[in-house]
Amino acid sequence: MDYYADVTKLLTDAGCYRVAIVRPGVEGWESPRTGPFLVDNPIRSQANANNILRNAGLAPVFQ
Amino acid sequence: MKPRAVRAILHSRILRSNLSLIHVKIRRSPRPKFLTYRFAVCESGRSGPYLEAFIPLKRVNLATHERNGMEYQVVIGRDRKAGVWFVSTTNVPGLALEDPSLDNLLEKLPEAIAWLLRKQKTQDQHEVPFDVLLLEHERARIAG
Repeated sequence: MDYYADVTKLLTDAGCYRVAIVRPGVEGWESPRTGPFLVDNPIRSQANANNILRNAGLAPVFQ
Repeated sequence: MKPRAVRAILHSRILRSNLSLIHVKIRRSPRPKFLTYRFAVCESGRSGPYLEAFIPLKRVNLATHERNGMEYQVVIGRDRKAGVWFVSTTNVPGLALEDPSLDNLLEKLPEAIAWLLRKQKTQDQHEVPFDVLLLEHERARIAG
């Protein structure tokens, strides 16, 4: 299971955008609410997907 | 931050979602180093919290904290179902990483933390120390 597509959809809907490739498989994103945060590609762990949403100032949605 | 200001921020956030903000409980985080507030949002007609989360409502000045002797900590947990190691808890803002290999994850951490602190523009030091704590739950069967 890869949560990357779902997470990035939620992030872009919330006004977040990708600013950099920090290293292969790790993207740097910017949130208008909380500032910079990291997004893995792929995201295999549900807990990690929720952590990314929290870092962007969003509520965790994966259960 | 005063409760009225917190409510105003929450209202603006909730308006973006489909939730209705009925009740807000605000209390300081039990872990003061995160400088966050805990809030609960209840849906109409429900007694329990619908949504409860730590939201950083206050920007943390990392440079000040570092000068005051703040240490960054990264707790790594294991997601057995997904077969990856991941950052489960940390006080580095914005840090969330995972990797099937623990070695690779540990290799990623310095670069990722450096990028985040550089982007925060609050860190003027060349090197920042951080602790890595591993959290793994195992079971030992005791033969009877």
